[in-house]
Amino acid sequence: MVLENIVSGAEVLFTPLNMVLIPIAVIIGVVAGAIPGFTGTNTVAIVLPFTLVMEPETAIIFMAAVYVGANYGGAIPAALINTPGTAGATATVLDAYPMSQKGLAGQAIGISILASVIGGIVSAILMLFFINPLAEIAFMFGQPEFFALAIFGIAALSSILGENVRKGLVSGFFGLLIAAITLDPITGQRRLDFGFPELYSEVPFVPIIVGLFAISELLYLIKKEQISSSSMDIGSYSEIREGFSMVIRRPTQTLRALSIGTIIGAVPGAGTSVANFISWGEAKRASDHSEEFGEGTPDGVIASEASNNAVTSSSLIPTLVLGIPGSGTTAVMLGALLLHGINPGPSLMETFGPEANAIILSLILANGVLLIFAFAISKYIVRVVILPTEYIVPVILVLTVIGMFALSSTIFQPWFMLLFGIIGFLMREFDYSVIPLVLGVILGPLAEGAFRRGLTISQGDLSIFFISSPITIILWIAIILVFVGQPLVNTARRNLSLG
Amino acid sequence: MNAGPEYLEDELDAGEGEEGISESNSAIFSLGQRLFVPTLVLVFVLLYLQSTWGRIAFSNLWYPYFIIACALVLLISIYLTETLNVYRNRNKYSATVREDIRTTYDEWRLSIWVVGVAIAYLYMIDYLGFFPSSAVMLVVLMWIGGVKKPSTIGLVTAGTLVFIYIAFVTVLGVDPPSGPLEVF
Repeated sequence: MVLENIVSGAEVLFTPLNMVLIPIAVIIGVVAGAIPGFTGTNTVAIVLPFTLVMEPETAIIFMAAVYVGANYGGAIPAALINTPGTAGATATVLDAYPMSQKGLAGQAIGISILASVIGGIVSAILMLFFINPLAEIAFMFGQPEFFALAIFGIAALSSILGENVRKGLVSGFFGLLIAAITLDPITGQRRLDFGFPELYSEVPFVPIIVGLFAISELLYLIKKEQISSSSMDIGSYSEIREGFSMVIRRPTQTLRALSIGTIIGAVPGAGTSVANFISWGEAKRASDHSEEFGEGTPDGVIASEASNNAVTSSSLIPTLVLGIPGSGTTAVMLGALLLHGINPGPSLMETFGPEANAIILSLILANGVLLIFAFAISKYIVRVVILPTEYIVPVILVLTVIGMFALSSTIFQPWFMLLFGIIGFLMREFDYSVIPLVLGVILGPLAEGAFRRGLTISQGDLSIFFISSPITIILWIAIILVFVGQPLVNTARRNLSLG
Repeated sequence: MNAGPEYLEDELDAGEGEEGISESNSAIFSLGQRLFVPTLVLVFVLLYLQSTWGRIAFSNLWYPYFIIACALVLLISIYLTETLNVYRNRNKYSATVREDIRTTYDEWRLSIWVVGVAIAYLYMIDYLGFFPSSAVMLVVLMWIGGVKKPSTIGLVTAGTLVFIYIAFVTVLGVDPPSGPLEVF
């Protein structure tokens, strides 16, 4: 079965176009990931319109490679300027920056590169083994289960994004309601389209994604003269290679970190930002020299970097087989899949099996490319961090506007993007995560469809959504646990980081 | 522990009930900040109810109203706790509303400018067409951002537009909007 997966995926993956695009995508990802605050999610959101003219599988492969690059890129400023480029590199800061302060920046970057690559490749290989069995399990999901799963996905993401789960849920329910402004799917009656025909059939989620992530980020970036004023130097290539050998000499730490990342990534809602902290904490707990963690130990960098790139691969599992994203970035990628006519879900492996396998294989390839390019260009990419924002902001603004226009050849989409850019800026300013909102908008049609079909099946009996099967019961218990468990997790995180 | 990123420490230092409290804010302004997003969502909910209530059969509104019910429970909870937090800590606030507005404006000034320019830009596209409007926007935003060297502004503007022409018009086949006043 695995061999079949590899062969079918390879046939789709190994085209000359993909071979050219993957290195380009990895470089774009590394460069964007190196910009502090410019997350992998933002980057994937910005490149999304560029993929419109690509074949669906090429588009997703391209975006997956960007994601892989961005996840590593976040480690560069984490090591050099004490600021993670992405949320998944937050725990990397704890040891990579102290290493840099000790004059070991090259080694820290080398560790980040190889740990990321190993984490990503092994996790992707595991995916090849498990995607078919998991898809079989996904067939056990009916309409009530999908509705509960959609709510659980939003609840789980809300719980890990910030201190206040209620704020995340408000954001998520806001997204679900925005998705429900279209014409009533059964009667065709208008609901809340504000008179815009563009909103009759579906809410265009791409402008929402780009607005919330990219435009709101521009409104932040413009406030800074340059992204960072810190001076940085990675050192020589031999120092980076020394970092590689540090990882090779620590197989246990690497294996533990990538295992944690793979498992956490497969859980809907738990992304890189959770995995890197749990992995770092677990590495510290298991170490005989736990006092060295936070002082610049290579083990800490391995723990964070191997786990966060392992998440990159495994977080695609719930996205592909259930249609429920495992992280903010995979939420955007889910949007891309839908945009290109690929409907993730239990039947994905039957209808788009080769494409799904090609996506997984592309993660392996992208990580291989990352190893080569990251080694070669990391010394130069650090300059991205000192780019003046007065150039970046107008250029990205005009690129996003033309990108949005390209979606439907109407000016409505750029306006919609700008509106959500402003909403995203205000939400972030007032401590509300925008990721649950995006997830709500994307999952809204799925949740509403499942809800209404479920009601039809049960002839109006609402209990079908709660007690119709063990899966729904487990999911609702999990949703309740999100409320109860989140304060406990916050306390644990606080103790872990301060202790 | 070695110093982590500042924002991380800020997040970790935020205690229960004290979240987001700044002595440089006035109580009313702080409350406004905390309740802005919930109010935005509440207005949206009310508009939805106004638009659908009594017009669409209730049996077809189970789903959106379930979402609205969940949202309302959360909104009420946030309104109560945020108001209570501000009330309990009312003695910690020192600034006046006027000072708050000035501080916030100073902090958001450039962001507001970007939004203003972006709105003008999107309006302009209908009249000038995409490329002339983009050229104007790029020049204005760089100028606002502090770039004063005409050659640099010209180079970045020309480079960006040439890239867009090649990537979007030539390669991707996009036909950008052209207005009645478009000159090329």
